Amino acid sequence: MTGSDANWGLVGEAEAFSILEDALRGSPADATELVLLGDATHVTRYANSEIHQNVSQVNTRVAVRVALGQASARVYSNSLDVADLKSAIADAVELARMQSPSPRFTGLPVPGAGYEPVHDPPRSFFASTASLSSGERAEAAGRIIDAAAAQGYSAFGTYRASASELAVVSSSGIRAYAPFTTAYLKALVDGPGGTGFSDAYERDAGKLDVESVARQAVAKCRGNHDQREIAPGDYEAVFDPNAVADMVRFPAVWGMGARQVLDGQSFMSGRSGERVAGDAVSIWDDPNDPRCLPMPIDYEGLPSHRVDIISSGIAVGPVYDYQTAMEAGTKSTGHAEAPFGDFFSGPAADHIVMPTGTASVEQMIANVERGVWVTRFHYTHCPDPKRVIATGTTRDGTFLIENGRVVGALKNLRLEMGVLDLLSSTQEAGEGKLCQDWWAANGMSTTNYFVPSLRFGRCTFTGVTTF
Amino acid sequence: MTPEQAIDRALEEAPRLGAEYAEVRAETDTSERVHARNGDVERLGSDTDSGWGIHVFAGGGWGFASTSSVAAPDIRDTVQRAVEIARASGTRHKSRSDLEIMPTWQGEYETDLRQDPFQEPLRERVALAQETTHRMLAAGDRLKVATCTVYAQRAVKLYANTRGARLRQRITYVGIDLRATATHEGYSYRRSLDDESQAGWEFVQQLDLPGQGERVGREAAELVDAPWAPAGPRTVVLSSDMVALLVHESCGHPTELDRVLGWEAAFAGTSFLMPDMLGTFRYGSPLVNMTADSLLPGGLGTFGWDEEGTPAQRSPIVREGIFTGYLTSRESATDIGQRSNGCGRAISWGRIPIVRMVNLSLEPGSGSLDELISQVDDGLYLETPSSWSLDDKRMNFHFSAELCREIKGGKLGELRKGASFQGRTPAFWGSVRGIAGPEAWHLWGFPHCAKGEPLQLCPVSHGASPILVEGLQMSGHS
Repeated sequence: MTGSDANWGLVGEAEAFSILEDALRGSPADATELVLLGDATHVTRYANSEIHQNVSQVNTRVAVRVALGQASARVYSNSLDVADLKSAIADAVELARMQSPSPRFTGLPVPGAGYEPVHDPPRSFFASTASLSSGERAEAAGRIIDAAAAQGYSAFGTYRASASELAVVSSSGIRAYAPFTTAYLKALVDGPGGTGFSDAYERDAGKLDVESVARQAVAKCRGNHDQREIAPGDYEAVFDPNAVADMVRFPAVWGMGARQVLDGQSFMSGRSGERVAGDAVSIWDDPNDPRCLPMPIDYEGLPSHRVDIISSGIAVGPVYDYQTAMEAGTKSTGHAEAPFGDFFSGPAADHIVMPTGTASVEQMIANVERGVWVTRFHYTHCPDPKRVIATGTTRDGTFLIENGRVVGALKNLRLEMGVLDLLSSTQEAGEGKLCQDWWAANGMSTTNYFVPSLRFGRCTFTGVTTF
Repeated sequence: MTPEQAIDRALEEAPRLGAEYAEVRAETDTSERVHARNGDVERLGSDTDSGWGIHVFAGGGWGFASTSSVAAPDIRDTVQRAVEIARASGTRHKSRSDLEIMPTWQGEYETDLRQDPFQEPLRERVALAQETTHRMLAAGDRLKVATCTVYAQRAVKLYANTRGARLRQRITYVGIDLRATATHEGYSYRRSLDDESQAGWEFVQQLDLPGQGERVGREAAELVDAPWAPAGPRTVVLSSDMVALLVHESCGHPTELDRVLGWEAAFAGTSFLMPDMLGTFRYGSPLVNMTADSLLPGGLGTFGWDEEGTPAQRSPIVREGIFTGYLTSRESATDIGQRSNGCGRAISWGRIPIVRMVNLSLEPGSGSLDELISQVDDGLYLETPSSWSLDDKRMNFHFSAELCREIKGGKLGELRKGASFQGRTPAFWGSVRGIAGPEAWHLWGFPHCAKGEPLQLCPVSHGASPILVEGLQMSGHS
C-alpha cells in the first residue's frame, strides 16, 4: 500500500512520513524518534448461533521518544495533529530533563544497526482483509452457524479483521514503513456431548477457508462425547499445532529474548552453544517466512531478520533489539517490541517456526500404543520460567488413543511439566499450521507460530477436571 | 469539536441514519508512568488517548463503531458504520433487546482523593522509584534485576443516550509494581509486590515503597536457593493477596453471567455455576461470604455508573457458603429475568461494555493472621501468586506462590520456593476452616483483568483476609 491509496482507516505511507517528519523538524532533543501505529480493527462475535457483539475501532497512536544525552523519556498520544505532536516532543524533553542520565542507555537506533533487509520480502498487507465488510463477516459467521445447526449443534466464535500500519521516523536517520493485515476466524461448536474447535489465521482474509473451519469444529464436536476419566500420569501424546503453540509459548516468551538472556532469567542464559533440549528440537524465529505472518520491520524501524534459537537441541541465540544488541556487542535482529502498553519485556520472538513433517494427525495417532490426543489448551501458565514449566488444562476435545486409534473422548486433563522435556520427547512431526497460542489468539500477546502437530513419547498430566 | 459536542452530533445523526436506539461514550485517558530498573530510570512517559464510540440498535441487531476523530465528517461516517454493523448483526440475531430499560438519568461522579497524583512533582516520583530499586539491590550480589514502577491514571468519561441520560465521571487510579529477580547457581527466582487503588498520591505514600523494596529484594535473595516446597495434601494458610486472586479467578469469573450464557465460550470460557444452582449450590464452607460492591472506597471497580449507565451498587454473590448471585450487565440480566447489578464495563472509548467484575471481596472473619497460623501444627504459609491457570469452566485450578514458609507448632518456619497447588473450586472453598478478621483484610487492586474481543484489560479490586484451608494438594517440585 502507498499513501496514494491510503484508506480503510489508515493514514498511508506518504501521509505518515509527512506528519512525522513535520513534527520531528526542530525538535530540541539530542535525538528524537516517532513511532506511529495505526489500526482499524473489526470484530464480529457470535454465540448460541447468533451474532451478539459486532464492533469496529479506528485509532492511530504515536509514541515519541527523546534523548538528552543519556536521559530519555517517552510521551504517547493518539492525535495526528502536527502541533500536538510537537507539543508531545516538548513534553518528552521536559520529562527527560527531570531524570539523571542512565549509563545503560545506548541511544536511539541508527540505520545499519541491524541486518540488511531481505530482498523482496513477503507481503504483509492484503486489501482483501482491509476491505472486509461487516456483511461479509456476518455471512461467514452465518455459514458456520448453519453448518453447526445442520448437526443440531450451536456455534460460538469470532471473525476478526484488522488493517494496521507501522511508521518509524527518527532524527538519527531511521525512516521505515510497513502496512499489515490480519484475519482470524474461530469456531467453537457445542453439541449435546461436548465441544469442538477449529480456527484459521492469515494475513490474507481471502485464504480463510470458512467451510474447513466449520467442518473441523463440527467433526471434533461429534467425537467429543461420553468423556471418560483417566488417571494422572505419563502418557504418549499427539498434539495438534494449536496445542504445540501453547507449549512453545513459554520458552518463547520467557526465554528467547535477549533481555531475559542477559538478565539470567532465560533457560538459555549462560548456555549459548550448550545442549538445552533433545536432538529433535529446533526452533527459529523468522519474520520473513511467508507462512508465519510476515512483518519486514520491527518497532524501531530496523529490518527483521531470521534468528536460529535452538538448533538440534543446542542453544544458539536470542533475538535482539537495538538496546540489548548494544549491551551484548552485536547487531539488532529487528525484534524490538511495540513501545505502547504497560509491560516492557524487551525484544520478543514473535514469529516462531519449527520443522514440519508430512504425517497427518491420523497417521501419528496410528503410531501410538496408548496415549492422549490433545487438540488445544485453555489458560496455560508458566509456574517456573527459568525451568520453563508449563501448566494448563485441555479443552474442546481430548481423546484417548489405544492401539493406534481413537477409542473415545476424555475429561479434560491438566498438563504440568517442563516444555523442553516435552519437546525433547518428540518422535514425529506432522503438517504445519499458522496459529497463535491461547494468549495471543485472545489479544493478550503477539506471538505467531508456524508449527507442526507433534507426537510425544512422554507427556505428564497431573490432574483431571470434571468435564 | 469537543467530546461533548461530538456526543451531541452523533446522537443527532443516529436516528436519522436508522438507529432505533443509540448511546455514545467519549473518554479521555491520561497516564504517567515512571519505571526504574537497577537504579536507573528505564521508562519515563506520559500517555493521552481520547476518542468516542457509538452503540446502536438497528435492523434487529447491535453495532458499535468508534474513532479517535471528532471531525464532523468522521462523526457521520462512524455513526453510519455502527448502523451498518448493527444491520449485519441483525441478519443473525434473534434475542430480545428491551430498549425500555435504558437509563434516563443525569449525574456526575469523581474519585475522592486528597493529593492529585498528577500534581505531585515528577522529580519526587522519579527519585522514589530509583531509591526503591536501590533498596532492593541492597540484598546483595544475588539480586540481578530490581524494578519499580509508579504510575497514575485518569479517565474522564462521558455517557449519553437517545433517551436523555447524561453522565460524567472523573476517575483516578494510582499504583505501584516492584519486582526483584535473584539468580544463584544458574537458577533465577522472582519476588514482587503490586497494588493499585482508586485514590490520590496518598496511597503510594502510605506504602513505604523503599521499605517494601528492601523486604522484596531480601526475600528474593533468600528464596532463590531455598529448598523446594513439599508435595502432597497440606493444611495451608494463604495470605491476603493469594486469597484475593483465588476470589478473582474461582469466584469472580465463574459468576460473570455472560460466561454462563455462553457469550465468552470461544475465548474466556463458560462456568460451572448454572442459573438453576442459584440459592442452593454449596460453593464453600459456611464461613465463606463474597460480595460485589462498586460503592467500596478505593476500589478499581468503584464508580458512579457502569458504562451502560447502571448505578453502582452492592450485590451478595456467596452467602454462608451458598451461591446466591451473578455479576450482570443489562442484556445478560434480561436473559435470566433480572435487572443489571451494574457490572457492564468498558475499558475505553473504543470498546463495548461487557460483564466485568467490580470490587468482589471475601468478607472478613475474625482474628489475626498470627492466630490462624497458631492453629496449624504442621503446614505451610503461602504468599503472593506467581502463576494461575484454570479450566474453561473455572472448576479445576492450579496456582503457584512466590513465597512459602513451613508452619511448625503454630509458628512460621523455614522458607520454601516453588510452591504450587491444584484443586477444584467448590472443594477448595468448602475446605476453608478459618478467615482472619477486618484488621487483616486488604483491598487489592488488579489493573489488568483480561476478557473480551477485542481484548479489554479491566481494573478490578478484591478484598480479602488470610484464610486457613485443610487438605490443599501441593504439587511439589516437577
